[in-house]
Amino acid sequence: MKRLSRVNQVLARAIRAGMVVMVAVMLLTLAAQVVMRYVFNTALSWSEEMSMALFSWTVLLGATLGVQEGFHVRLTLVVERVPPRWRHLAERGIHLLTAGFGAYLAFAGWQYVDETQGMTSAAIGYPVEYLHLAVPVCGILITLFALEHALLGTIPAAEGEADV
Amino acid sequence: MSETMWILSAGFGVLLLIGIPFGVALGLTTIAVLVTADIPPVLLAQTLIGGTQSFSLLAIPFFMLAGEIMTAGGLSTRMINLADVFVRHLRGGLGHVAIIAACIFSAISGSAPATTAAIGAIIIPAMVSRGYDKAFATALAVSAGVLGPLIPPSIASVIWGVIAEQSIARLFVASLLPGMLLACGLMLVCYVYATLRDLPREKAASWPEIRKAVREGIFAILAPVIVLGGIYTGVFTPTEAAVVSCVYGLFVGFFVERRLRVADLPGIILRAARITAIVMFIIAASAGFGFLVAQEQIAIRLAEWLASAIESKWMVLLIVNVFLLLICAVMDEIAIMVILGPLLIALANKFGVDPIHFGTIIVTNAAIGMAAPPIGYCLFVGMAISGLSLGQIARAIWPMILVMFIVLMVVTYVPGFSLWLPGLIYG
Repeated sequence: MKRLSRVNQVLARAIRAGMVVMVAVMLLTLAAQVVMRYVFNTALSWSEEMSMALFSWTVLLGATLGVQEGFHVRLTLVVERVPPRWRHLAERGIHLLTAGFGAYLAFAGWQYVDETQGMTSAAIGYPVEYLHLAVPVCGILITLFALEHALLGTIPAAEGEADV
Repeated sequence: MSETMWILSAGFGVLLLIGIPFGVALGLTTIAVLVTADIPPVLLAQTLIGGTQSFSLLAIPFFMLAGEIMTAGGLSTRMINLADVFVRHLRGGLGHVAIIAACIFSAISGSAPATTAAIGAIIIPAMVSRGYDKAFATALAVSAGVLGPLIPPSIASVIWGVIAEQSIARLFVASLLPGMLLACGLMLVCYVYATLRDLPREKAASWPEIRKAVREGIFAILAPVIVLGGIYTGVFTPTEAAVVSCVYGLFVGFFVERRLRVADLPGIILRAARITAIVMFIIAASAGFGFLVAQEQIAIRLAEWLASAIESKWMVLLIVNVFLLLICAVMDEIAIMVILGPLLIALANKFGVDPIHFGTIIVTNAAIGMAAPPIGYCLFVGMAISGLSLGQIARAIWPMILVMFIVLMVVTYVPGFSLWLPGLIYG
């Protein structure tokens, strides 16, 4: 059990670093697209497709981090009113369900990668597996992170921070 | 009702109530339907990728990031200084400063809580030190956040534009006048408050002070000019404008203000990426859910059933508003937009409501929901900055909420108020 949580710590750190790098690359790519269009009068053919692929990866990896750090938004009106002992149990149950979601996602994602193997993207022509692989990876990570919280009862203090 | 419809409605509702995160609940509901109706699991994976493959939605991380960069790089402080020299000598001066600075910030960031955070952190302590009630100052910063999604650019408009397949640039400009009206209304609240409390007026700024603030503030003012000018002259798409605004913020933060360091960047980027993941995961997970809802024709049937009970367009808009206000006060606004979007759009079409007008109504509702107690992201940010409880802020915020209701009524019942500007620009 301790080992799972140590593995998860390392994974979460890698995800955070990966997200920072991907957002930075998207920013540079799209900035380059604008500069090329107005300064050099040429349209880049690959910039939109590449940044959109990175965007999908960022979102799906970010979603797993949300499970690990507990920042996904949810309704807490009912859970908050449950006595502490039961609340703890409820939180474990919620994470068990989340792990189930992750496992199905990994399974569905793997099938998707398998079925679309060999196809290439429209503009760059990269193999679409590179994009579709984000789904099973997301599923596996969600399962790992949610299982840790469900089994060890390490429930992150969740307060959805901000959005629009 | 078919089994699938039960799962999509009651099953989903139960998952939400027991506290499953919105995105996961959407996914679990989709899985339940796939399993019971014997649909290939691939659908879930396919729609999850499809939901994120949108160049318009790619604007979200960059509008988030732009706000973070401006705040960390010191541009927010310059905006406040600029507003300060022009309006601080009026009655309720600092309150006006907060609102005007929030308007400028909103023209760069499209996020309500980011606006509250940027303005509130500086203005709340300043207002308290000049004799304003802390609860009033916090309520004002929370309400000023509502300007974020109303004054373009706006993340709420980006999302609604994608859901309803409407022009995002048109939606942006349609909510500008409502945003301005709200700003005026909030300033009126400050004026009345300062008069009732008989707060002392500030000394007017001297010429050298004004010159200094303008010289330094020119960088802050230039940012919205680039972003909005770029979008409306057709130079940039909204997504590119968000990117340019980030680059501009980095340039000012590194070379003009010299407050940013490279070591700060990962933290700034990660904050924006986390918030993006929250919003986008809900949107992505709703794609599969939405596909099933569409297949069952739930939205259309529900809209027809509702339409048979309601006679006029104005009645339907009133019901939509009351319903949205109540639900936005307690639920996540993005989740509401993506889950109820198909139903709302079907209703609006049925009664011939202009899609841009209707979009403005939705965005205004979502924006108000950010500040309306008991649950709203701006409220949470305000509580965190001031250390006040929800109850204390809720007691002070009602005049501002009243102003927001008035704006919403004007938006709803005067279609020209939102449609005039887009018509002027796009014909």
